[in-house]
Amino acid sequence: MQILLKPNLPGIGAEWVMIELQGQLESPENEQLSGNFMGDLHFNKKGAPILIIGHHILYGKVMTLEKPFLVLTKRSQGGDGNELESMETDQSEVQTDQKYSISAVVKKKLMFKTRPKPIITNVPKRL
Amino acid sequence: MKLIEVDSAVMAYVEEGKDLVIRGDKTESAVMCLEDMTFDLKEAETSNTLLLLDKCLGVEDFEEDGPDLHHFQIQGVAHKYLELRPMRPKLQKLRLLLNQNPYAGDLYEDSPEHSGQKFTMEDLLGKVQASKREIIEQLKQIRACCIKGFWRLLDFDYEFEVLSQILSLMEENSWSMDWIPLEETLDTLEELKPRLIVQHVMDCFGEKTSNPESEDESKVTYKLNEDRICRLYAEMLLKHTDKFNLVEFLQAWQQSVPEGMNTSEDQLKGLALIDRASKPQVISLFKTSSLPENERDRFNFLFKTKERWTMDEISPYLEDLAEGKLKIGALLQKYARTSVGPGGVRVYNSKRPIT
Repeated sequence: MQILLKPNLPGIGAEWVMIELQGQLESPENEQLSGNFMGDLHFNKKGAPILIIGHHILYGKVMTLEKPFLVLTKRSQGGDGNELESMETDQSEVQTDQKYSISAVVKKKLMFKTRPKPIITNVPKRL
Repeated sequence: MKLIEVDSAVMAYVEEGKDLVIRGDKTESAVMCLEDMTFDLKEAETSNTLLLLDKCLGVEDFEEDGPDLHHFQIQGVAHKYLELRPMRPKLQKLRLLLNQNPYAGDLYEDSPEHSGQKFTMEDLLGKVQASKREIIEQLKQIRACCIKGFWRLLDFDYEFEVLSQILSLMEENSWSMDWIPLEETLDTLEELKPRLIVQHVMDCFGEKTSNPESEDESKVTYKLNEDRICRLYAEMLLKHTDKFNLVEFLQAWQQSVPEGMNTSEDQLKGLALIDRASKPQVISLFKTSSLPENERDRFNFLFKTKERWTMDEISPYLEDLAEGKLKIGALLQKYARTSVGPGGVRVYNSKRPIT
C-alpha cells in the first residue's frame, strides 16, 4: 500500500508557528477547547513572547526548530479535514490511494518551558 | 491533522513541491520514502502540549503603526508527532516476490509452474519498503528484466542457456570478448531467444563499449564481464551439489568457462563458502542474497553456519549491510568477539548465544 503525501504549500501562509507548553491545556468544567478563547500572546521589546492564560503568565522564547515539522491534513471530500487519522499501515484501510496533503510547514516555535506564574493584582499591603 | 518531524533535507525536498510516499503492507511498520531515500516512521509522544497557529509571527509582524490586537486561530493541538529515522531500504522482499514467477521463455508462460503472480513497477512500489531509486537499483542488481510491463527474474537455467548461446556464438565467430557486435548477436539468436532477453543478458554480463568511430545503433558493441560470467558458471556447478571437493571444483570450473576466461577465488566472494578445516577442503554454495536482511538475524545465521570467520571470509556477507570498510568493523564489534586462531589469524565468533 502507498500513501501519497502531496505538498500543497501556497507560498504565503504555508508557514505555521508552534506554541509548546508544558503539561496539558484544560478548560474549567472540562469544556471542549475548540471554539474557546485561549489567551493573549504578547511580545516584549526584545521579541520574547509572553503568554497570558487566565490568571497565569508564561514567559517564553522564540526558537528556530532544528528539526522542522510538516503539517499533514487528510485530503478527503466530505470528511472533516481535522480528523485525527492514524497513519499506521496496520489499519484496516482499503488498498487504494490514501492521500494526505502537506498543508503547512513549521520552522519556528514559541517555547514556554517555565511553569506558569499566577498573576495577583490588588494585593492589599496590610490586612 | 498530523505532524511529521523532518530534517532540513526532507524539508527542502517538500518545498521543491515533490511528493513523499508512505509504503508498506498492513503487517509491516510504515516507512516513508523520498525519490531516493527511505526513512523509518515512528510515532513519538510528548507530555507537552503543541499548539499550532496558522500565522507565522515574530516581532516583525507587529509594526509600530499597525493595529495592536491580532486574532489568531489555533489550528490544532497535538501531543504526538511522527518521527523519521534514515534506514536501509528493505529490499529482500523484491527477490521473494519476483521468485514467485521467474521467466523461462515464452513457451512456458502458459504452463502451470508459471502461473505465479507477476508485478509491474507500480505493484512493486506498493509492496516493497524502499524508494523508487533504490528499487530500480536492486532490480538491476538481481538482474531482473522488464518483460511486457512486468518485472521478472530469469529462471536460472534459462539465463544460463541464453548466456551460453551468446558465448558459443562468440567462439564460432572468433570474436574477442571485448568486442561483441550487438546487432549481429541479436539477429543470429533471434530464432532461439527473444531479442529483448538476449539484449538483457548482454546488459547483465557485459557493458556497452563506446565506439568513437560511429554513433550508429547497429554498430554497438559489448565488452563481456569476465568476473560475472565466471560467477554464473560457478553457481551452475555448485547449484546441484551440497558440497564439492575444492580442488576438483576449481579444476572443473576453469574447464567449464569459455576459453580465454580466467577463474579466481576472488570471484566467489559472497557466492560460495570454502571450508578449509575439513579434509579434503570443500566448497559449497552460500549466497549473500539468501541471508536474512536484519543485522541481528544475519549474524546469527552466519555464526550458525560457521563458528569462526576471518575478516576476509565474513566481509562479503556484510557488505550490503554496511557502507564501506569502516562500517563492517563497527558491525563486527557490535556482534562478534575476536580471537587469534591457529596460524595467528584473527577470527571472529559470535558475541550472543546462537539461536
